[in-house]
Amino acid sequence: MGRTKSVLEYFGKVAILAKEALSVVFKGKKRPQQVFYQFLYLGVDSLAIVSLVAFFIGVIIAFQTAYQLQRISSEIYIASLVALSITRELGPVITALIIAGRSGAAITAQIGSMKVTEQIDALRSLSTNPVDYLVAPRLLALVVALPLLVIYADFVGILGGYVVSAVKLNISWGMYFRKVFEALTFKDIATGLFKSAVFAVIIAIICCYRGFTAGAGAKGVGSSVTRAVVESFVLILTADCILTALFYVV
Amino acid sequence: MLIEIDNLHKSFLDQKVLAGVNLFFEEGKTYVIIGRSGCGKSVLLRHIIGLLKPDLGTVRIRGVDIFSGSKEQLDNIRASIGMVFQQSALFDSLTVGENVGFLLYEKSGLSRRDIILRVQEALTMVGLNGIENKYPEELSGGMKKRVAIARALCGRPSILIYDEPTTGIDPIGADMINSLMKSLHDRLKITSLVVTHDLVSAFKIADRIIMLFNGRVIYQGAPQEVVNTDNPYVRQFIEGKKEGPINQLEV
Repeated sequence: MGRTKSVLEYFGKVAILAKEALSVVFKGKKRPQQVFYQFLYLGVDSLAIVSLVAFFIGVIIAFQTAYQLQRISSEIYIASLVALSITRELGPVITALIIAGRSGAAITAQIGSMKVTEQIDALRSLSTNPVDYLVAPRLLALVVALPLLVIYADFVGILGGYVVSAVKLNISWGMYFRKVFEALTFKDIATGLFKSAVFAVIIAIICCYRGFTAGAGAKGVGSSVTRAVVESFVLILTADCILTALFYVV
Repeated sequence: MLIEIDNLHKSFLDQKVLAGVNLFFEEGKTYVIIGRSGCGKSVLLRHIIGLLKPDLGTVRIRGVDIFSGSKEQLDNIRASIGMVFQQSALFDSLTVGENVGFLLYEKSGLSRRDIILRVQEALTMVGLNGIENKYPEELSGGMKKRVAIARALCGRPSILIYDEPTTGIDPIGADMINSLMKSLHDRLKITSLVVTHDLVSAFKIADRIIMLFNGRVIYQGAPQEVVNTDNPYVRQFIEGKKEGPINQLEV
C-alpha cells in the first residue's frame, strides 16, 4: 500500500512539474540564448556518440538480415528491412536512450549540484522560478534537438546498412537507396519524430525532477542521476510500446 | 514593525525544528540569531524569505502575510530582501558580473549598461573591483562571500539576511566580512538578520542578540545584556562549556 502511494505520488509530482514546465514554455519568459546553449550542449554535443551507435546498429541489422535473406535469395529486401526497422523503432528509441544516458544524466547532475549548494534556493530568493529558469530551456532544447538527432540517426543507420549491403551482397548505392525510398512512407518518419518528441519530454521532465529532489552530498546527487537514467529508460520503452500499439496495431 | 513572526512551527518528518517562535524585527537594526547547530536558526531565516512554509504560524513583512499573499506579493517581498547563503550559492555557470546583476537582468527592465553600472557599484561596496568577468570557481571562499553580499545588495534591498556569513573563512577573512556587514549597515541603514555561531561576529555587529534553543526563543537582548545575563543557557553557550543545561541529547 505504501509503495503504491509513493509511486502515485511520484507520478503526481512529475505531472505537476510537466504541466508547469509546458505552461512556462508557451506562456513564460522567452530565453532564446539559454535554449540555444542547451540545444548545443544536450543535442549537438551528442552527435558523435549518436553517429557511432546509429552506424553500428545499421551494420548489425544488415548483417543479421543479410544472413537470413541470403538463405531465401531475397537479398535486395535488406534495404527496406533496415530502413523500416531504423525509422520506425530503433532510430527514435536508441537515440532517446543515448540522450537519456548522456544528456539526461548531465541535467540531473547539474540541477542536483545546484540544489545541494543552495543555488536553487538562491534562484527563488532572487524572485526567479527554477522551473522557468532551469526546466523550460532544457525541455524546449530537447524537444527540438531529439527529433533532429533522430532524423540524423536514421540516415546514419541506413548508411551503415548500405556498407554491409555493398560489401557483403554487392548491392549498388542507387539500388539500395531506391529500395529504401520505396519502403518508407511518410507515416514511418512522422511517427518516429512524434515518438522522439514524446521521449524528449520524458527525459527533460524526469531528469529535472530527479535533480530537484536530489539528496545531500555527492552520494545524493549520484543516486539521483542513477534513478533519473533508469526511470527515463523505463518510461521511454513504456511510451514506445504504447505509441507503437496506437500507430500500428490499433 | 518591519517583520513579525507569530507562533511559527515547523517539523521535518518527526523532528520538530521550530516549536512556536515569536519575534519581531524593527527597521534599520541588526539582529544576530545564535544557538547550537540544528536549533532551527537557518530554518527560521528560510521562512522569512518564503523558501519554507510553516506547519503553523505566520510571517508578516510590512504587514503582509507572506504565506497567504499572491505570487506577485511574494516576488515583491523577496525582491526587497537580499539573502547571503551559507555556501555563498553563486551560480557557477555565470560570471561574477552576471551573478551580481542576476536580479536586475531577470526582473528590473533596466538597460544592460545601467545594470553593469549597478554591478560595479555593488562590487565596489564590498571592496571587489574588476572581477566581473571571473567565474566563482576562480575566487577564494572569502571573495565568494563578498560577491554573494554584492549580489544581495545589487537589488537595493531593505532587509539583508546572512546565513552563517563567516563559516568556513579564516579569522582575518571573517573579520573583514564582519567589518563589511557593519559598514554596510551603518552606511545603508539596512535591516540585517544574521545567523551565526561566531560570537566575535555577533558582539561586533549586533544591535540585538536572539538565542534559539529547541525551536524556541529562549533569550534576547542587547550585546551588553547578553554578556551580563545569568540565563544558564546563554552563559553556557557564550562561554562554550560542555557542561550545563544545553546538552547533546536536548539538541
